[in-house]
Amino acid sequence: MIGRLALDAVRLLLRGRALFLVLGVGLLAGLFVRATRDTGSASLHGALLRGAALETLASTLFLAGVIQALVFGLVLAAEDRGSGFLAHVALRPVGRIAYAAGRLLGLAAAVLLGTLLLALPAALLAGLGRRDLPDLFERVRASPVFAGERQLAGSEIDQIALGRPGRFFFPAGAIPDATLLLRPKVALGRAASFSGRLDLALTLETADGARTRRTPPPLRPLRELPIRFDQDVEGAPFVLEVEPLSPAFVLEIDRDALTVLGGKVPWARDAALSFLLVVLAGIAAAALAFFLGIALSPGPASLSACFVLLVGLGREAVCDIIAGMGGGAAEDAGAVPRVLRFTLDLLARLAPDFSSFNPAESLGAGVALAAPALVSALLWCLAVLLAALLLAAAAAPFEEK
Amino acid sequence: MGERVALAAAGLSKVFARPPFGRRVLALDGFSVEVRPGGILGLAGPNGAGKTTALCCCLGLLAPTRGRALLFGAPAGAPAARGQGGFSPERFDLAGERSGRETLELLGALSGLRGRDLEARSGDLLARLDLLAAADRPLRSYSKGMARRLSIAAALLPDPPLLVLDEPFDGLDPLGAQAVREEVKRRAADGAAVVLSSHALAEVEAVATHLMVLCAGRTLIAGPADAVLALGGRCELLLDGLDAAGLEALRRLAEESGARLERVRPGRLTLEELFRRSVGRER
Repeated sequence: MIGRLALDAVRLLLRGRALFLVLGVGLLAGLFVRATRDTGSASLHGALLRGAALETLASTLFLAGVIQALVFGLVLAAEDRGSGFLAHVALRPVGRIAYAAGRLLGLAAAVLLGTLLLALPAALLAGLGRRDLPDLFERVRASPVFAGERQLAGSEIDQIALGRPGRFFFPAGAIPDATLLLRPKVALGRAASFSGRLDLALTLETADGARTRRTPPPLRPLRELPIRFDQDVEGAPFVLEVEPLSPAFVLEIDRDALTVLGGKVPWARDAALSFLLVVLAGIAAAALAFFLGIALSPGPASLSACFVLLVGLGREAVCDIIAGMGGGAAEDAGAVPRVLRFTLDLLARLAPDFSSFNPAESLGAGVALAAPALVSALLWCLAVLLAALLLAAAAAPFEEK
Repeated sequence: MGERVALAAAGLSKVFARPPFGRRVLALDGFSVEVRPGGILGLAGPNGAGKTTALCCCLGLLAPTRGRALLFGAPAGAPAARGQGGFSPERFDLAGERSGRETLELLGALSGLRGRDLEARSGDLLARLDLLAAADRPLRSYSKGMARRLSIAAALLPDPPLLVLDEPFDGLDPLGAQAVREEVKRRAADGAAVVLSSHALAEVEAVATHLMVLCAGRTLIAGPADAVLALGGRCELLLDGLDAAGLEALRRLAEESGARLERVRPGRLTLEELFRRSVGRER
């Protein structure tokens, strides 16, 4: 019964006009990525962009995959709820869980097959095979990590403030002359004032005791910015010290916030991981859209799904707005800017962070996806799937209360 | 309410309230009915009378605000009642890529039918409802009448002991309507209970053994069709070969017996009879 429902969902979503729709979405997304991101991200982030073809492929797949997944979820919900099909199913000996499981299984299969189809125009547009492939590096995380004198354990998060530097120990084999990624999170509610810019000093301490100090450009909150650090430690272990310079702000910092680049990895492994991540993100997005469609009916669900997608995709823009609004002295700001900033901050924190699923964020920076990213993506998708299964089963209008 | 009653509803009421502050609408008010196997109940009423609401409440697709409905003794909507009723909803506009045959086979499989039995029943219904030629076309290419016949076929497929059809004649041509009428009569003769609602009053009248008229959620008229439609003291004669002298003799005979000849008009076909004779011959 579950298999029949799943097969029917795949048939509905990937046959006839739907097939051309999928390929069309892929083509348009690829053109959009080529026009806007292909070379732009290199100059924007100062990243080691040695393989634009792979970055274009990954970005196209991600963008097209998420759009396709949302459309799939909404179309299936509309087909079931709005056409009378559900009324036929509801009077047959089919349980709610079986119905929801069959539909979600079908969605997952359709997303997988649809993403495979999307890969074709994406690869053609990216010029894969005609352009150089990238050199990819593994991320190396610091361990141990100190906030002041205190060593952080596990994934513990602490705050470092003015005069209380964080120290990150990197093992042998890491490369500090490559891009260094720092993800600062500002605790807005706790900061006495916030200018919208975070000034930091970075000190590199090599094994022989030599110290080199840098002051990178100001950082923005909730964004991951690469910082070039030109020094070769020849594979020896080193210590990196992060010291906040801006007065009266605290910087949330965790063990995973600071990474540098390690040895090279084969691009094929990374491309496969990217594809898997896109599929997982697509399944989660499709499940969410299906649940919204079943629970709310297709019209309101489309609006809700579009809103979630736009906020998710525009998350970085929202973060920039927050930073920009803090351009003046925060303590002098009136009530309206404060409320606005607080609202936007809340929105940005609630919105799904699609960038963590976007392989291009890593590939574009010349960094391979690390296994923890895959594991966290997998767990995230499983959680969304389980929630969607239960919610869809509960919300399916077998009986309207 | 004995076990032999296919559908028993008592005091069903339904209030719709549009969230969050919308007006409350009483769509159904104290709807009660009993339908036994072999019976055909026809529901009639103006738009918004509560016919579809009544059917959905009876089947458990809509939770009533008050009252309850039982399908063969099991509460409507309960797992035990599933599979007892076949329903053709008013709205059935599948726009997907399934073909008619695939749709029937999917819904048949969800009813527990398998293999050759499923294929045979699907094929038989497609033929009887004149859908065989379009069976493998995608549903989005179906006309309204074809989609309606497919919905009815889907309801009939598991051979349910209770058949509920909402607007089954909507969009059907006279030949399609005739096929549905014959199917309904055949199912009732086989022992199924049938409930249908329609604005096609002539069609309802042609098949229903019991009639019910709803208006603004309330039941205006209910009872056996013969009793509800009877006009005491009036009768119709259909004579062939009557000339002017014969007509005069008939008039005198009526006057002598104390009756009055109200209307005399030449015999003629109805448009439906004309359609059936001409188009039916072409098919």
